[in-house]
Amino acid sequence: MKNIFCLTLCFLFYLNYIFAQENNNDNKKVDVLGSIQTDILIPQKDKYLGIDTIEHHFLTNTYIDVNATSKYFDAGIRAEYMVNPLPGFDSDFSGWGIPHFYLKGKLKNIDLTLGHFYEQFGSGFILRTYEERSLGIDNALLGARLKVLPFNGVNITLLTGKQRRYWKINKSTISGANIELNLEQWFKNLQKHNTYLTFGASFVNKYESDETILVDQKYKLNLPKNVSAIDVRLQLQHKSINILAEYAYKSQDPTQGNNYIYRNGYVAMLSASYSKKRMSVLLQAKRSVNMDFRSKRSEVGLASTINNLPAFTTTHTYALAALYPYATHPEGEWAYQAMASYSFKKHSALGGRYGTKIKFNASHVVGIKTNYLGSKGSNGYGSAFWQWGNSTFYQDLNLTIEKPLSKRTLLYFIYMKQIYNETIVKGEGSTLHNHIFIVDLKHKISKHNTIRIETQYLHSKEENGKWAFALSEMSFAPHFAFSLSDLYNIGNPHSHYYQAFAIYAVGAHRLQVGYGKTRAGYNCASGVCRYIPATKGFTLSYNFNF
Amino acid sequence: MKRIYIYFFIALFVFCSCNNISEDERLIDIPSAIIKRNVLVEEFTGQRCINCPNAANTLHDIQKNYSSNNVIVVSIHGGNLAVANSSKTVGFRTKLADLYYNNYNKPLLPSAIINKQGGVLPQAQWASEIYNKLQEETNTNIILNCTIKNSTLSIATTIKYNDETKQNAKLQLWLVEDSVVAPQQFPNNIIKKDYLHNNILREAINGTSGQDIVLEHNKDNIYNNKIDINTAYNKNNLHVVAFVYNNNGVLQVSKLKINK
Repeated sequence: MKNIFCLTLCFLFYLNYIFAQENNNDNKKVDVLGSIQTDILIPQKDKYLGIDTIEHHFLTNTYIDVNATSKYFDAGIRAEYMVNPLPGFDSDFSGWGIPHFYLKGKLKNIDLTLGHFYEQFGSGFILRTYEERSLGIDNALLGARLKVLPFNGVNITLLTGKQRRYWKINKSTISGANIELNLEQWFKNLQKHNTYLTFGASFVNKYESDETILVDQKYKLNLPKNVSAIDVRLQLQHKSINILAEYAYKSQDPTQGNNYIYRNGYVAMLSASYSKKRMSVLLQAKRSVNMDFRSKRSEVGLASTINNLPAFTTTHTYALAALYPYATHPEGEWAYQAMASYSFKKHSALGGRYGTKIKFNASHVVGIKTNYLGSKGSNGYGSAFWQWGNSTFYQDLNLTIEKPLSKRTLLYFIYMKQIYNETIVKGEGSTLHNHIFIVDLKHKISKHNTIRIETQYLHSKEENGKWAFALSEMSFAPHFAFSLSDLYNIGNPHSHYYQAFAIYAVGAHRLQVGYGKTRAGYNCASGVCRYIPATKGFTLSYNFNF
Repeated sequence: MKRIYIYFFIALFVFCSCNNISEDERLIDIPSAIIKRNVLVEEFTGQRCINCPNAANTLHDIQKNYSSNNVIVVSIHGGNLAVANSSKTVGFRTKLADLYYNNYNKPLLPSAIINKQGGVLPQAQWASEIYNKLQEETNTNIILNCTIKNSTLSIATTIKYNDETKQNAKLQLWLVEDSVVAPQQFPNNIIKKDYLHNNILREAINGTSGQDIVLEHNKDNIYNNKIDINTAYNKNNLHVVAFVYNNNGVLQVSKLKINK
């Protein structure tokens, strides 16, 4: 196996060399792009973090991508190595090999992809296959996808394949079709009035063979082998206004995740935004019920998801704001989000000499009200559309003020009020009520040197709920940057989570070395979260894009 | 020509609703299991695992259907959702449990492995897996005999093997306790402080992976082991679980109350 891996790497570099030869004839020109990404941890023991034993002294997630594009063909391949992966990934994540490859043919209005591909229909309610390395998610389909533009304003996609699950392929077959109609292409009056109207419809079907799921000693479940889902959406854009209405429905899908009930699932979403010079507003609401859609009935955790339900919450990057991230509740939820931002002009009363920008976001997620109808084999529960459940899952009210103090100094101030239901998100714990204050000051010392200082404070009534964070970062452009930070659980003497990093970047290369401790927590993206255990040790990250 | 696309999608929508199964067609009769052997269920659980009480009930129901001597459950409290014993809390997390939990790559809770075959399974698959495993043939039978003198437990394990081919295997003996009252977390932030826990793995009597044995036909293979019983355990609620296994899984399992 190692020889095959080495040969493949040699082939990738040979491919790069061959395709790098340019021809005067543009038709034969091939561009080769790629990247190398490796993250390494050399772990250490720490009794206060509960790290008593070190099973492997060298942990890494490494990816090598090479893609070639030309006028008529694209091709790509990815090699991955995570025999001893970074902490917190699913046990099946461990492995190495070539899990991703594809060949795409393009001719006029048609393109055909064979191999692995990623695709999303609409907002992803019934199909979203993607790669998110920080979560260990890669649910690409291996099969065929045809994209056709038969007429102006019509986009059609047809696909079929089997889904990747770490180093294997799930046995079920996923098939789908999607059509997007840009109606302004047919009704010219719409365009004349700066109006764009898009209608979309999608269909996805999962075929999975039967399995034995006993209800009791006498009966087993009659499982549907085909589970289908549809999605319809209408998007209207008129000057500064954008409105999207989308509805998705899933047929009976008894799975491990919903305790094998036969209830249908659906999600309905309405989103409206307004954007003009210096101002933007976003309002959106979503209700989802039983919309977890997987290519393997018995799957739990992050793998084998066919769709994705985005969380209507802000993805925070500041340490304390991101301490308690939210993951979409697949059983069902009502989610609301309102966002508004405004930029005050320079030299105005509220803008000051250099202008000021204010942004406000409110997210509120609650459960749905359900009435119990039965367990395995039944419809599970009923749920009236407009009714809320008793539990608040998550709430986030945050205000951000971005204020340049001078030509060289930029200040961010953030206040956030958060309600976080630990049991819903993590499976255990209480409901936290947090107040978070963040100050971020960035000052350009000279043409090439910048310093940034962050201080953060989280106040909570819950025991051990108060946190403080400080960071200082110096960058010496274009090549060097250094940072030092400490996350401290106030009142807990052994809970300093310090980190130090040094970064060197030249051309397309970026190297980061560091040392420190990280607390156990959750890493989230697009409403999906992965638990990361506490770590301590040396880290190294290398990125190269070519 | 453009209409054909619209008709095509309408047909797909209709197909979507045809997949639904009516309520009176959701259950299929299955024949009763013909029990040919006992089955070992190693259940991974934890006092902070909110879905584990439901899983424990599932196993309890399965044991009622067949018999707790045919379906032998051992609950392994390992990992971060298990609770270590302390002066403030009765807990069942031990280094032994953590070792087994780590050996199976830290599975999500609740999960179980049946007869050390087929990998760690989620709750929904336990009933069918146990149903199938109970009907598998085996050439191995285990007879246990326990005596207690003061606080020392002596176990004599007799293994009867009914195959001409001699083979190597391992014999594992575990000390397991029932009916211990301790806190347990439930959904919706509920903690029951007086929850009754059963099948708790307490000790590995003859090593964490057992002792090497040789299975020979027409020869009663007798193995003797001893253990001093921790005074914290209630002798009336202790039983020994003995199982013979090799790379293909558990060949047979048996259990016996220690003061029977």
